[in-house]
Amino acid sequence: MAGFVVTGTIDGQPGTGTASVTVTPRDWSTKTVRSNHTTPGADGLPIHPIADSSLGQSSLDMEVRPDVGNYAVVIADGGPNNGFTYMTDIPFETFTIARVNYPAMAQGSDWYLLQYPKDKHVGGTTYCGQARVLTLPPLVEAHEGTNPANQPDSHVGIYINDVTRDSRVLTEGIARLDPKVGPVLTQIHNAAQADSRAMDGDSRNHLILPCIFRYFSP
Amino acid sequence: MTLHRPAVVVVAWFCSATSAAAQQRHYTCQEAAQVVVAPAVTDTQARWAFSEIVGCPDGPAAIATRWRTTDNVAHLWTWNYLIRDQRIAEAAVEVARDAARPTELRLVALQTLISYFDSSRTMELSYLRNPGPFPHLASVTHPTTRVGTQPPAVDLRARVYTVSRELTTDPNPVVARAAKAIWQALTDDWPALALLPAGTVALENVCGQKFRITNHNDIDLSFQLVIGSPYHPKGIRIPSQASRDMTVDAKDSVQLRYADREIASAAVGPPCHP
Repeated sequence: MAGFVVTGTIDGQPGTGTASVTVTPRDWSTKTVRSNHTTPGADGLPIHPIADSSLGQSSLDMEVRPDVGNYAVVIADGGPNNGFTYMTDIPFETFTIARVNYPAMAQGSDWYLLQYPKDKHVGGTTYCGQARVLTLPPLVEAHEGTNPANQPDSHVGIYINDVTRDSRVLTEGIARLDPKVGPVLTQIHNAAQADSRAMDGDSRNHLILPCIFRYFSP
Repeated sequence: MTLHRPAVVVVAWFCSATSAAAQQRHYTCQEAAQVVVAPAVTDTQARWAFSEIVGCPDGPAAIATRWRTTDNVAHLWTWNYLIRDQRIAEAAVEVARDAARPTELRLVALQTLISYFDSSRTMELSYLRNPGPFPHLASVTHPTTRVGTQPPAVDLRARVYTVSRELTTDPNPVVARAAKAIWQALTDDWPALALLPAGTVALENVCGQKFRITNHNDIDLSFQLVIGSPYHPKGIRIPSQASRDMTVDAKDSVQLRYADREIASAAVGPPCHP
Protein backbone atom coordinates (compact mmCIF):
# COMPACT_ATOMS: atom_id res chain seq x y z
CA MET A 1 0.00 0.00 0.00
CA ALA A 2 1.29 3.48 -0.81
CA GLY A 3 0.07 6.98 -0.03
CA PHE A 4 -0.22 9.46 -2.86
CA VAL A 5 -0.50 13.23 -2.68
CA VAL A 6 -2.13 14.76 -5.72
CA THR A 7 -1.92 18.45 -6.54
CA GLY A 8 -4.06 19.96 -9.28
CA THR A 9 -6.24 22.78 -10.42
CA ILE A 10 -10.03 22.60 -10.19
CA ASP A 11 -12.12 25.41 -11.55
CA GLY A 12 -9.06 27.62 -11.55
CA GLN A 13 -8.35 26.97 -7.88
CA PRO A 14 -5.32 24.99 -6.73
CA GLY A 15 -6.12 21.98 -4.62
CA THR A 16 -4.43 19.09 -2.91
CA GLY A 17 -5.73 15.66 -2.01
CA THR A 18 -4.39 12.43 -0.65
CA ALA A 19 -5.26 8.87 -1.46
CA SER A 20 -4.09 5.41 -0.49
CA VAL A 21 -3.39 3.02 -3.31
CA THR A 22 -2.87 -0.70 -2.90
CA VAL A 23 -1.12 -2.50 -5.72
CA THR A 24 -1.74 -6.23 -5.67
CA PRO A 25 0.49 -8.45 -7.81
CA ARG A 26 -1.49 -10.20 -10.49
CA ASP A 27 -1.91 -13.93 -10.26
CA TRP A 28 0.00 -15.60 -13.09
CA SER A 29 -0.19 -19.09 -11.64
CA THR A 30 -2.99 -20.18 -13.96
CA LYS A 31 -1.33 -18.84 -17.09
CA THR A 32 0.35 -21.39 -19.29
CA VAL A 33 2.73 -21.20 -22.19
CA ARG A 34 1.19 -22.19 -25.48
CA SER A 35 2.84 -25.44 -26.50
CA ASN A 36 3.45 -26.72 -30.02
CA HIS A 37 4.79 -30.25 -29.74
CA THR A 38 5.42 -32.73 -32.52
CA THR A 39 6.48 -36.37 -32.49
CA PRO A 40 7.66 -37.18 -36.02
CA GLY A 41 9.13 -40.59 -35.20
CA ALA A 42 12.70 -41.19 -36.35
CA ASP A 43 12.68 -38.18 -38.68
CA GLY A 44 16.21 -38.63 -39.94
CA LEU A 45 17.73 -40.46 -36.98
CA PRO A 46 20.03 -43.12 -38.44
CA ILE A 47 18.62 -46.60 -39.01
CA HIS A 48 22.04 -47.85 -37.89
CA PRO A 49 22.57 -46.18 -34.50
CA ILE A 50 26.15 -45.38 -33.57
CA ALA A 51 25.46 -44.50 -29.91
CA ASP A 52 22.65 -44.15 -27.36
CA SER A 53 22.22 -40.64 -28.70
CA SER A 54 21.03 -42.05 -32.03
CA LEU A 55 17.94 -43.58 -30.40
CA GLY A 56 16.17 -40.32 -29.65
CA GLN A 57 16.59 -36.60 -29.85
CA SER A 58 14.65 -33.56 -28.78
CA SER A 59 14.59 -30.07 -30.23
CA LEU A 60 13.71 -27.24 -27.85
CA ASP A 61 12.69 -23.76 -28.91
CA MET A 62 10.34 -20.93 -28.08
CA GLU A 63 9.05 -17.88 -29.91
CA VAL A 64 7.03 -14.76 -29.30
CA ARG A 65 3.35 -15.40 -30.04
CA PRO A 66 2.19 -13.61 -33.18
CA ASP A 67 -1.33 -12.87 -31.78
CA VAL A 68 -0.29 -9.72 -29.92
CA GLY A 69 -3.89 -8.63 -29.35
CA ASN A 70 -4.52 -11.68 -27.18
CA TYR A 71 -1.76 -11.05 -24.65
CA ALA A 72 -0.78 -7.38 -24.71
CA VAL A 73 -2.74 -4.23 -23.95
CA VAL A 74 -1.77 -0.76 -25.10
CA ILE A 75 -3.23 2.04 -22.99
CA ALA A 76 -4.86 4.50 -25.36
CA ASP A 77 -6.87 6.82 -23.12
CA GLY A 78 -4.96 10.02 -23.82
CA GLY A 79 -3.82 10.14 -20.20
CA PRO A 80 -0.36 10.20 -18.73
CA ASN A 81 0.13 6.48 -19.44
CA ASN A 82 -0.97 6.75 -23.04
CA GLY A 83 0.98 4.30 -25.19
CA PHE A 84 2.10 2.23 -22.20
CA THR A 85 2.00 -1.50 -22.98
CA TYR A 86 1.61 -4.34 -20.51
CA MET A 87 0.97 -8.07 -20.74
CA THR A 88 -2.25 -9.83 -19.81
CA ASP A 89 -1.04 -13.29 -20.78
CA ILE A 90 2.24 -15.05 -21.40
CA PRO A 91 3.56 -13.78 -24.74
CA PHE A 92 5.61 -16.87 -25.57
CA GLU A 93 4.97 -20.24 -27.13
CA THR A 94 7.20 -23.28 -27.17
CA PHE A 95 8.10 -25.34 -30.23
CA THR A 96 9.38 -28.75 -29.31
CA ILE A 97 10.06 -31.95 -31.21
CA ALA A 98 10.65 -35.39 -29.70
CA ARG A 99 12.21 -37.78 -32.20
CA VAL A 100 12.27 -41.48 -31.41
CA ASN A 101 14.14 -43.95 -33.58
CA TYR A 102 11.39 -46.59 -33.77
CA PRO A 103 12.68 -48.35 -36.91
CA ALA A 104 16.06 -49.03 -35.32
CA MET A 105 14.41 -50.43 -32.18
CA ALA A 106 12.00 -52.73 -34.01
CA GLN A 107 12.18 -56.49 -33.81
CA GLY A 108 14.42 -57.85 -36.56
CA SER A 109 16.02 -54.51 -37.39
CA ASP A 110 19.71 -54.46 -38.26
CA TRP A 111 20.46 -52.98 -34.86
CA TYR A 112 18.30 -55.58 -33.11
CA LEU A 113 20.19 -58.32 -34.90
CA LEU A 114 23.52 -56.73 -33.97
CA GLN A 115 22.86 -57.51 -30.29
CA TYR A 116 23.64 -60.81 -28.62
CA PRO A 117 20.58 -63.11 -28.50
CA LYS A 118 20.56 -62.80 -24.68
CA ASP A 119 22.32 -60.63 -22.11
CA LYS A 120 25.96 -61.63 -22.17
CA HIS A 121 28.97 -60.95 -19.97
CA VAL A 122 32.13 -60.33 -21.96
CA GLY A 123 35.33 -59.33 -20.18
CA GLY A 124 33.60 -57.62 -17.31
CA THR A 125 31.03 -55.88 -19.52
CA THR A 126 27.38 -56.89 -19.67
CA TYR A 127 25.91 -56.54 -23.13
CA CYS A 128 22.15 -56.20 -23.59
CA GLY A 129 20.39 -59.02 -25.38
CA GLN A 130 17.97 -58.58 -28.24
CA ALA A 131 14.92 -58.69 -25.99
CA ARG A 132 16.03 -55.48 -24.31
CA VAL A 133 15.88 -53.63 -27.64
CA LEU A 134 12.14 -54.13 -27.63
CA THR A 135 11.83 -52.57 -24.16
CA LEU A 136 13.52 -49.38 -25.31
CA PRO A 137 10.84 -47.42 -27.21
CA PRO A 138 8.73 -46.47 -24.16
CA LEU A 139 11.90 -45.62 -22.22
CA VAL A 140 13.20 -43.38 -25.00
CA GLU A 141 9.75 -41.80 -25.36
CA ALA A 142 9.76 -40.99 -21.64
CA HIS A 143 13.33 -39.69 -21.84
CA GLU A 144 12.74 -37.35 -24.78
CA GLY A 145 9.13 -36.50 -23.94
CA THR A 146 6.64 -37.64 -26.54
CA ASN A 147 3.84 -36.78 -24.09
CA PRO A 148 5.46 -34.03 -22.03
CA ALA A 149 2.41 -33.23 -19.91
CA ASN A 150 2.79 -36.66 -18.34
CA GLN A 151 6.58 -36.79 -18.53
CA PRO A 152 7.85 -33.90 -16.39
CA ASP A 153 11.37 -35.39 -16.20
CA SER A 154 11.72 -35.70 -19.96
CA HIS A 155 13.79 -33.27 -22.02
CA VAL A 156 10.68 -31.66 -23.46
CA GLY A 157 8.76 -31.80 -20.18
CA ILE A 158 11.54 -30.04 -18.28
CA TYR A 159 11.88 -27.42 -20.99
CA ILE A 160 8.17 -26.57 -21.17
CA ASN A 161 7.75 -26.55 -17.39
CA ASP A 162 10.78 -24.29 -16.92
CA VAL A 163 9.59 -21.91 -19.64
CA THR A 164 6.16 -21.77 -17.99
CA ARG A 165 7.59 -21.20 -14.52
CA ASP A 166 9.96 -18.43 -15.59
CA SER A 167 7.44 -16.81 -17.93
CA ARG A 168 5.00 -16.44 -15.04
CA VAL A 169 7.62 -14.46 -13.14
CA LEU A 170 9.18 -12.42 -15.92
CA THR A 171 6.11 -11.53 -17.98
CA GLU A 172 4.88 -9.19 -15.24
CA GLY A 173 7.95 -7.03 -15.82
CA ILE A 174 7.35 -6.61 -19.55
CA ALA A 175 5.61 -3.28 -19.22
CA ARG A 176 6.74 0.02 -20.71
CA LEU A 177 6.19 2.32 -23.63
CA ASP A 178 8.16 0.08 -25.96
CA PRO A 179 8.33 -3.31 -24.25
CA LYS A 180 11.21 -5.58 -25.16
CA VAL A 181 10.17 -9.22 -25.19
CA GLY A 182 13.21 -10.48 -27.11
CA PRO A 183 15.73 -10.30 -24.24
CA VAL A 184 13.24 -11.93 -21.87
CA LEU A 185 12.67 -14.72 -24.38
CA THR A 186 16.41 -15.31 -24.68
CA GLN A 187 16.85 -15.37 -20.90
CA ILE A 188 14.05 -17.90 -20.41
CA HIS A 189 15.08 -20.09 -23.36
CA ASN A 190 18.73 -20.27 -22.35
CA ALA A 191 17.94 -21.26 -18.78
CA ALA A 192 15.28 -23.81 -19.74
CA GLN A 193 17.33 -25.54 -22.44
CA ALA A 194 20.35 -25.76 -20.14
CA ASP A 195 18.25 -27.35 -17.39
CA SER A 196 16.65 -29.75 -19.86
CA ARG A 197 19.98 -30.89 -21.26
CA ALA A 198 21.45 -31.26 -17.78
CA MET A 199 18.92 -34.00 -17.15
CA ASP A 200 21.09 -36.49 -19.05
CA GLY A 201 23.57 -36.37 -16.20
CA ASP A 202 21.41 -36.12 -13.12
CA SER A 203 18.84 -38.07 -11.13
CA ARG A 204 15.96 -37.11 -13.43
CA ASN A 205 17.37 -39.38 -16.10
CA HIS A 206 15.40 -42.62 -15.87
CA LEU A 207 16.96 -44.18 -18.97
CA ILE A 208 19.38 -46.38 -17.09
CA LEU A 209 19.94 -49.99 -18.06
CA PRO A 210 21.99 -52.72 -16.38
CA CYS A 211 23.80 -53.43 -19.63
CA ILE A 212 25.12 -51.72 -22.74
CA PHE A 213 24.17 -52.16 -26.36
CA ARG A 214 26.42 -52.79 -29.30
CA TYR A 215 26.43 -50.10 -31.95
CA PHE A 216 27.37 -49.65 -35.56
CA SER A 217 30.62 -47.80 -35.19
CA PRO A 218 33.11 -49.24 -37.66
CA MET B 1 63.47 -72.52 -29.48
CA THR B 2 60.55 -74.80 -29.24
CA LEU B 3 59.24 -72.54 -26.46
CA HIS B 4 59.21 -69.63 -28.85
CA ARG B 5 57.56 -71.35 -31.72
CA PRO B 6 53.94 -71.12 -30.40
CA ALA B 7 54.40 -67.39 -29.69
CA VAL B 8 55.67 -66.78 -33.21
CA VAL B 9 52.69 -68.63 -34.61
CA VAL B 10 50.24 -66.63 -32.49
CA VAL B 11 51.84 -63.31 -33.49
CA ALA B 12 51.88 -64.31 -37.13
CA TRP B 13 48.23 -65.36 -36.95
CA PHE B 14 47.28 -62.10 -35.19
CA CYS B 15 49.10 -59.97 -37.78
CA SER B 16 47.54 -61.93 -40.56
CA ALA B 17 44.07 -61.60 -39.05
CA THR B 18 44.52 -57.87 -38.43
CA SER B 19 45.75 -57.37 -41.95
CA ALA B 20 42.84 -59.35 -43.36
CA ALA B 21 40.36 -57.30 -41.30
CA ALA B 22 41.94 -54.08 -42.47
CA GLN B 23 41.83 -55.29 -46.05
CA GLN B 24 38.17 -56.24 -45.66
CA ARG B 25 37.43 -52.84 -44.15
CA HIS B 26 39.19 -51.17 -47.09
CA TYR B 27 37.02 -53.05 -49.58
CA THR B 28 33.87 -52.34 -47.58
CA CYS B 29 34.64 -48.63 -47.56
CA GLN B 30 35.43 -48.67 -51.27
CA GLU B 31 32.12 -50.33 -52.04
CA ALA B 32 30.19 -48.03 -49.70
CA ALA B 33 31.75 -44.96 -51.32
CA GLN B 34 30.70 -46.18 -54.77
CA VAL B 35 27.12 -46.57 -53.60
CA VAL B 36 27.07 -43.20 -51.84
CA VAL B 37 28.22 -41.26 -54.90
CA ALA B 38 26.03 -43.23 -57.32
CA PRO B 39 23.17 -41.17 -58.74
CA ALA B 40 20.55 -43.82 -57.93
CA VAL B 41 20.62 -46.53 -55.28
CA THR B 42 18.12 -48.96 -53.84
CA ASP B 43 16.86 -48.57 -50.28
CA THR B 44 18.76 -51.67 -49.19
CA GLN B 45 22.00 -50.42 -50.71
CA ALA B 46 21.48 -47.02 -49.17
CA ARG B 47 20.77 -48.37 -45.68
CA TRP B 48 23.98 -50.36 -45.70
CA ALA B 49 26.32 -47.99 -47.48
CA PHE B 50 25.07 -44.75 -45.97
CA SER B 51 25.76 -46.16 -42.50
CA GLU B 52 29.10 -47.77 -43.32
CA ILE B 53 30.46 -44.67 -44.99
CA VAL B 54 30.42 -42.70 -41.75
CA GLY B 55 33.21 -44.85 -40.32
CA CYS B 56 35.40 -44.84 -43.42
CA PRO B 57 38.52 -42.64 -43.57
CA ASP B 58 37.41 -41.17 -46.89
CA GLY B 59 33.71 -41.36 -46.04
CA PRO B 60 33.38 -37.59 -45.67
CA ALA B 61 34.77 -37.15 -49.20
CA ALA B 62 32.01 -39.39 -50.55
CA ILE B 63 29.40 -37.60 -48.45
CA ALA B 64 30.69 -34.26 -49.76
CA THR B 65 30.31 -35.58 -53.31
CA ARG B 66 26.77 -36.61 -52.47
CA TRP B 67 26.06 -33.07 -51.25
CA ARG B 68 27.20 -31.72 -54.59
CA THR B 69 25.27 -34.19 -56.75
CA THR B 70 21.95 -34.96 -55.10
CA ASP B 71 18.87 -32.93 -54.32
CA ASN B 72 17.55 -35.56 -51.88
CA VAL B 73 17.92 -33.98 -48.48
CA ALA B 74 16.99 -36.99 -46.33
CA HIS B 75 20.36 -38.70 -46.13
CA LEU B 76 22.29 -35.46 -46.01
CA TRP B 77 20.33 -34.55 -42.92
CA THR B 78 20.93 -37.92 -41.29
CA TRP B 79 24.68 -37.70 -41.87
CA ASN B 80 24.58 -34.41 -40.07
CA TYR B 81 23.63 -36.36 -36.94
CA LEU B 82 26.60 -38.59 -37.28
CA ILE B 83 29.75 -36.86 -38.39
CA ARG B 84 31.57 -33.54 -38.62
CA ASP B 85 34.30 -33.11 -41.21
CA GLN B 86 35.82 -30.17 -43.04
CA ARG B 87 35.05 -31.68 -46.45
CA ILE B 88 31.36 -31.96 -45.63
CA ALA B 89 31.29 -28.41 -44.33
CA GLU B 90 32.94 -27.16 -47.54
CA ALA B 91 30.31 -28.93 -49.62
CA ALA B 92 27.52 -27.45 -47.48
CA VAL B 93 28.99 -23.96 -47.94
CA GLU B 94 28.99 -24.48 -51.72
CA VAL B 95 25.40 -25.73 -51.76
CA ALA B 96 24.17 -22.92 -49.51
CA ARG B 97 25.65 -20.38 -51.91
CA ASP B 98 24.51 -22.07 -55.12
CA ALA B 99 21.39 -20.32 -56.35
CA ALA B 100 20.81 -23.12 -58.86
CA ARG B 101 20.17 -25.72 -56.15
CA PRO B 102 16.68 -26.29 -54.70
CA THR B 103 15.62 -24.00 -51.87
CA GLU B 104 15.03 -26.85 -49.42
CA LEU B 105 18.50 -28.24 -50.05
CA ARG B 106 20.08 -24.84 -49.46
CA LEU B 107 18.18 -24.56 -46.19
CA VAL B 108 19.49 -27.96 -45.10
CA ALA B 109 22.98 -26.75 -45.99
CA LEU B 110 22.52 -23.67 -43.83
CA GLN B 111 21.15 -25.81 -41.01
CA THR B 112 24.13 -28.12 -41.32
CA LEU B 113 26.54 -25.22 -41.06
CA ILE B 114 24.92 -24.07 -37.79
CA SER B 115 25.87 -27.41 -36.28
CA TYR B 116 29.52 -26.67 -37.10
CA PHE B 117 29.26 -23.72 -34.72
CA ASP B 118 27.84 -25.83 -31.94
CA SER B 119 26.52 -29.35 -32.43
CA SER B 120 23.95 -28.83 -29.68
CA ARG B 121 22.33 -25.86 -31.42
CA THR B 122 20.17 -25.73 -34.52
CA MET B 123 17.33 -24.05 -36.33
CA GLU B 124 14.66 -26.50 -37.38
CA LEU B 125 13.83 -26.50 -41.09
CA SER B 126 10.26 -25.50 -40.28
CA TYR B 127 11.68 -22.40 -38.61
CA LEU B 128 14.16 -21.60 -41.36
CA ARG B 129 11.34 -21.64 -43.89
CA ASN B 130 9.54 -18.94 -41.92
CA PRO B 131 11.74 -17.35 -39.23
CA GLY B 132 10.20 -15.53 -36.30
CA PRO B 133 10.80 -11.92 -35.26
CA PHE B 134 13.42 -12.77 -32.61
CA PRO B 135 15.79 -15.26 -34.24
CA HIS B 136 17.79 -17.45 -31.92
CA LEU B 137 19.19 -20.95 -31.95
CA ALA B 138 17.12 -23.87 -30.72
CA SER B 139 18.71 -26.52 -28.58
CA VAL B 140 19.05 -30.20 -29.48
CA THR B 141 19.71 -33.02 -27.06
CA HIS B 142 22.31 -35.73 -27.55
CA PRO B 143 24.45 -34.07 -30.22
CA THR B 144 26.87 -36.25 -32.09
CA THR B 145 30.56 -35.94 -31.34
CA ARG B 146 32.13 -38.04 -34.10
CA VAL B 147 34.74 -36.11 -36.06
CA GLY B 148 36.00 -37.26 -39.46
CA THR B 149 39.60 -37.61 -40.56
CA GLN B 150 39.65 -33.92 -41.53
CA PRO B 151 38.32 -32.09 -38.46
CA PRO B 152 36.59 -28.75 -38.97
CA ALA B 153 39.18 -26.02 -39.57
CA VAL B 154 39.81 -23.35 -36.97
CA ASP B 155 38.46 -20.61 -39.24
CA LEU B 156 35.28 -22.51 -40.17
CA ARG B 157 33.09 -20.62 -37.72
CA ALA B 158 34.16 -17.29 -39.16
CA ARG B 159 33.53 -18.53 -42.69
CA VAL B 160 30.07 -19.84 -41.82
CA TYR B 161 29.30 -16.53 -40.18
CA THR B 162 30.39 -14.72 -43.35
CA VAL B 163 28.29 -17.02 -45.52
CA SER B 164 25.19 -16.35 -43.44
CA ARG B 165 25.78 -12.60 -43.71
CA GLU B 166 26.41 -12.72 -47.47
CA LEU B 167 23.29 -14.77 -48.15
CA THR B 168 21.03 -12.16 -46.55
CA THR B 169 21.05 -10.51 -49.99
CA ASP B 170 20.41 -13.74 -51.90
CA PRO B 171 17.88 -13.35 -54.73
CA ASN B 172 15.89 -16.24 -53.27
CA PRO B 173 13.79 -14.56 -50.55
CA VAL B 174 13.39 -17.79 -48.54
CA VAL B 175 17.14 -18.32 -48.40
CA ALA B 176 17.74 -14.63 -47.66
CA ARG B 177 15.28 -14.65 -44.74
CA ALA B 178 16.76 -17.84 -43.32
CA ALA B 179 20.29 -16.46 -43.66
CA LYS B 180 19.27 -13.25 -41.91
CA ALA B 181 17.81 -15.25 -39.03
CA ILE B 182 20.99 -17.32 -38.73
CA TRP B 183 23.21 -14.26 -38.99
CA GLN B 184 21.26 -12.56 -36.20
CA ALA B 185 21.29 -15.62 -33.94
CA LEU B 186 25.00 -16.27 -34.46
CA THR B 187 25.79 -12.61 -33.82
CA ASP B 188 23.93 -12.68 -30.53
CA ASP B 189 25.63 -15.88 -29.37
CA TRP B 190 29.11 -15.13 -30.73
CA PRO B 191 29.28 -11.31 -30.87
CA ALA B 192 33.04 -11.27 -31.33
CA LEU B 193 32.54 -12.56 -34.88
CA ALA B 194 30.68 -9.43 -35.91
CA LEU B 195 32.80 -6.93 -37.76
CA LEU B 196 31.66 -3.42 -37.02
CA PRO B 197 33.30 -1.26 -39.70
CA ALA B 198 34.24 2.26 -38.66
CA GLY B 199 31.28 4.57 -38.68
CA THR B 200 28.63 1.88 -38.44
CA VAL B 201 28.05 2.50 -34.74
CA ALA B 202 27.94 5.97 -33.26
CA LEU B 203 27.76 7.27 -29.72
CA GLU B 204 27.12 10.99 -29.32
CA ASN B 205 26.07 13.30 -26.55
CA VAL B 206 22.74 14.99 -27.12
CA CYS B 207 22.99 17.26 -24.10
CA GLY B 208 23.79 16.88 -20.43
CA GLN B 209 23.56 13.23 -19.50
CA LYS B 210 21.54 12.30 -22.56
CA PHE B 211 23.34 10.17 -25.15
CA ARG B 212 22.34 8.81 -28.54
CA ILE B 213 23.51 5.44 -29.86
CA THR B 214 23.05 4.76 -33.57
CA ASN B 215 23.40 1.36 -35.22
CA HIS B 216 23.97 1.68 -38.98
CA ASN B 217 24.46 -2.07 -39.40
CA ASP B 218 21.91 -4.35 -41.04
CA ILE B 219 21.54 -6.39 -37.87
CA ASP B 220 20.34 -5.74 -34.32
CA LEU B 221 23.21 -5.40 -31.87
CA SER B 222 23.48 -5.63 -28.09
CA PHE B 223 25.85 -3.16 -26.49
CA GLN B 224 26.98 -2.26 -23.03
CA LEU B 225 27.04 1.34 -21.95
CA VAL B 226 29.62 1.81 -19.22
CA ILE B 227 28.80 4.69 -16.93
CA GLY B 228 31.75 5.92 -14.87
CA SER B 229 33.18 4.03 -11.95
CA PRO B 230 32.60 1.62 -10.33
CA TYR B 231 32.08 -0.51 -13.39
CA HIS B 232 28.37 -1.07 -13.86
CA PRO B 233 27.53 -1.51 -17.52
CA LYS B 234 24.01 -1.02 -18.74
CA GLY B 235 22.82 -3.32 -21.50
CA ILE B 236 21.07 -1.85 -24.50
CA ARG B 237 19.96 -3.40 -27.76
CA ILE B 238 19.73 -1.22 -30.84
CA PRO B 239 17.77 -2.49 -33.84
CA SER B 240 19.43 -2.34 -37.23
CA GLN B 241 19.50 1.11 -38.81
CA ALA B 242 18.06 2.70 -35.68
CA SER B 243 18.97 5.09 -32.87
CA ARG B 244 18.17 5.08 -29.17
CA ASP B 245 18.48 7.94 -26.71
CA MET B 246 19.45 7.19 -23.13
CA THR B 247 19.70 9.46 -20.15
CA VAL B 248 22.18 8.05 -17.67
CA ASP B 249 23.73 9.05 -14.38
CA ALA B 250 27.16 9.83 -15.81
CA LYS B 251 29.54 12.35 -14.27
CA ASP B 252 32.21 12.78 -16.96
CA SER B 253 31.80 10.42 -19.87
CA VAL B 254 30.36 7.10 -21.00
CA GLN B 255 31.87 4.24 -22.98
CA LEU B 256 30.11 2.04 -25.48
CA ARG B 257 31.34 -1.54 -25.48
CA TYR B 258 30.57 -4.42 -27.83
CA ALA B 259 31.83 -7.98 -27.42
CA ASP B 260 33.94 -6.94 -24.43
CA ARG B 261 35.78 -4.17 -26.29
CA GLU B 262 35.33 -0.43 -26.25
CA ILE B 263 34.13 0.93 -29.56
CA ALA B 264 33.20 4.52 -28.70
CA SER B 265 33.07 7.05 -25.89
CA ALA B 266 31.47 10.44 -25.36
CA ALA B 267 31.67 13.16 -22.72
CA VAL B 268 28.80 14.61 -20.75
CA GLY B 269 27.61 17.77 -22.50
CA PRO B 270 26.22 21.12 -21.46
CA PRO B 271 22.90 20.97 -19.58
CA CYS B 272 19.78 20.17 -21.54
CA HIS B 273 17.21 22.96 -21.92
CA PRO B 274 13.56 22.07 -21.58
